Amino acid sequence: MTESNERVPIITISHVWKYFGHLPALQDVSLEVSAGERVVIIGPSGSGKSTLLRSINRLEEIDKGEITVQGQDIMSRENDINLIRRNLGMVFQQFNLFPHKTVLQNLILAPIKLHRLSREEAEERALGLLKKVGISDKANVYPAMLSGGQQQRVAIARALAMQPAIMLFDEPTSALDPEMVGEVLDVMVNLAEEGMTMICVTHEMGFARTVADRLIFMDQGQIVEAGKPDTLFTAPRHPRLRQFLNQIL
Amino acid sequence: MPEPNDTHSKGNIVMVTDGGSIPDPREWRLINAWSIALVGAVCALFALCLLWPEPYLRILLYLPDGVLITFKITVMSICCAVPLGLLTGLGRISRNRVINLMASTYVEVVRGIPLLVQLFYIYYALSRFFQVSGITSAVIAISVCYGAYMGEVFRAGIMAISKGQSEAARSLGLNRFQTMFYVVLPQAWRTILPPVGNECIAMLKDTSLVSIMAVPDIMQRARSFVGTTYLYFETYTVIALIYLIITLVLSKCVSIMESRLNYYDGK
Amino acid sequence: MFRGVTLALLALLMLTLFGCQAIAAEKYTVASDCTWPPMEMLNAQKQPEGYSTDYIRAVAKAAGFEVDVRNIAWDGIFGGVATGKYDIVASSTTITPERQKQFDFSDPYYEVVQAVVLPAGTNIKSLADLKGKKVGGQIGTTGIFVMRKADVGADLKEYDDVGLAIQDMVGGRLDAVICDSPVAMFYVNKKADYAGKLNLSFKTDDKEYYGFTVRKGRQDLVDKLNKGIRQVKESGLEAQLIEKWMGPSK
Repeated sequence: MTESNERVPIITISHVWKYFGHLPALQDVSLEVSAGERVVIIGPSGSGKSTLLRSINRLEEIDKGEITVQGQDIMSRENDINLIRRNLGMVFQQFNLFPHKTVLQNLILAPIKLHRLSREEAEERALGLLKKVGISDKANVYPAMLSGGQQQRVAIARALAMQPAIMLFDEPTSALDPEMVGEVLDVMVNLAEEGMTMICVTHEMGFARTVADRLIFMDQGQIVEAGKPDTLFTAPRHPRLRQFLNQIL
Repeated sequence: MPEPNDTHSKGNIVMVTDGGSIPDPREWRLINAWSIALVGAVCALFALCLLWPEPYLRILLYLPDGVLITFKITVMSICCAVPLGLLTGLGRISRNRVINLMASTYVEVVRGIPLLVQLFYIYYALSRFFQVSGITSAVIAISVCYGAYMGEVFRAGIMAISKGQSEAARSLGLNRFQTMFYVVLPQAWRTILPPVGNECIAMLKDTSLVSIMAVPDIMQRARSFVGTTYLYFETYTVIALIYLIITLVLSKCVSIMESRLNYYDGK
Repeated sequence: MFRGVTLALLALLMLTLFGCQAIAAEKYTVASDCTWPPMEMLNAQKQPEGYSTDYIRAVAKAAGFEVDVRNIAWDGIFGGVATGKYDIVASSTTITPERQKQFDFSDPYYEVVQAVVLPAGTNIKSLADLKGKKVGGQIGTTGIFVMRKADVGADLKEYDDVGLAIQDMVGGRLDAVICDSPVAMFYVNKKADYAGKLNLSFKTDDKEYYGFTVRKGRQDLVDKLNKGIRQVKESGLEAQLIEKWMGPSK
């Protein structure tokens, strides 16, 4: 790659099908995400949006179609999915911090094992990230001592510790008490402002409106409508999107 | 669709084993079943030996080398059975069909054969192909037998760790092996330790079967003593007390280890 | 009225019971550890048979009582007679002073010595030659006691039954087995599986005498047994039994 053109797709999803048993969770979904782009996916529960996100780093294995990340086919045997995943940070609804490790240990595990960093280097990187997400004072406590919002910020820092090119957020605020949603969204907004490529599944419409370059509405395993957030919010074309917006706004 | 994962669930499986019951590590009151049993057993043993040194003290002094053999067999069997159990547990959850089938078959076969039969089989039946000493046979038979039981314990313990944990680890780029050893197993230990401890205690008790291979463990020393003196009541009273004291002490050790593993609870 | 009938029935029942017992011969339960061929073993129908078994049956017939012989494991056989689970142990029990402290014995009914069985091709001249060797025997039998008393520095292994010890020696994990002489001869000469594999190499000089064992204080039973034994010896039945189970005398 010689040029770092913003229009170069960093993720391509083409004609992807995924079944859970006989139920199609994704039906012929295609999507391209460019480097630096912020994509927000919305839709009712069961619409396949989480499945789509999880397919990108192969936590779900697709049944048909092709997904490439930075040009590499994630389903191909020739490509090591573990190497691809290092570039795909993921944040889960349930945080999924490692409860038996302190905050700092959560952050340095993967960099030490995978980037072959020394403990000191990894800790330095980790402390920097904790500062960024605003919880440097909690480096040596166990996750169980933290509030949900703090845990989710640690989870973001943990994903960032691998210095990924892309961040995937799977409903990062859905499990949080309402008063903690803000602190997590702030971190995500900051990240977006730094130019991180982000794909985010969320119900936070305010966040979608301010951050998203592109808003995607999924329903019944299909991308129903996509476009600028303002357009979708103010002039939804598809009746199902209209219905959805009526329900949540 | 959001998955109902809960990072903080401790696993809600109930495991039933036939080992001694492990004292609850949070139970710090002085009088509880464990302390009553231990103090009772120790006092009874002392009282018997002081009040009637003949024959009780004589019996007690006849046994120490048997205790040593029993410990030796138990420790060696634990050292073999725990890794075997871990491998079996991993095999049982493996996605590789061949490995999975091998591990499952092993568990099915071994669980269907009584330990006593396995002991006879390895020592007497297989002696036509290879010959090992009584103690080695005992360790092999007990490890193979308990490896299968522990395999189930490990499997259940690993399965009890929420899927989100391994997904988080995998999403960072850790491979299956790293995920298992750095993330899942350290957490699973907490669920696994009490039943594994129970299995180890059950194992110690089951070593009393090895006397059929002329291994002079505690039990055989007792039988041999009875064979000369015909003091059934006195000898087996002492033996029962000794086994009881050993298993009570062991179950306390397991309980202490268990409470150490609870360090990250945030309580 | 109803009560009257019940009482009458009960009285009748008791009469019948006592009456029967008075008529029928007394029946005693006999325990034998049937792992000690040819003295006590199980036949193809899984019934106890052998020299001791035939002998106690003959004694019972002569003395006018009945016996029911059961196969009971050696380890614990004395405990059962002490607690009255059965009346008599007829299981090649050597009369020893230690045992006499706890139990009563009949007069001797057979004389044996201890014999050392070795794998074919090996030999010893005395128990002292077993120094440093692995010697097996059945737990709680006089063979073990003799080895312990001799204290020659052998590694003594105690098996649940002598057959396992012999098997282990044929397998190669034992150097010698010590047991009563008739048992040794049976394994060396009569057991087809071991033909040519064993060598009865050494016999002790000290004679031992088998007796039937009863609970301490059962003098009545001892008297009956002794009466029977006397008759079996005098009638020549004993000689027949010896010939039947040990083969013709040399």
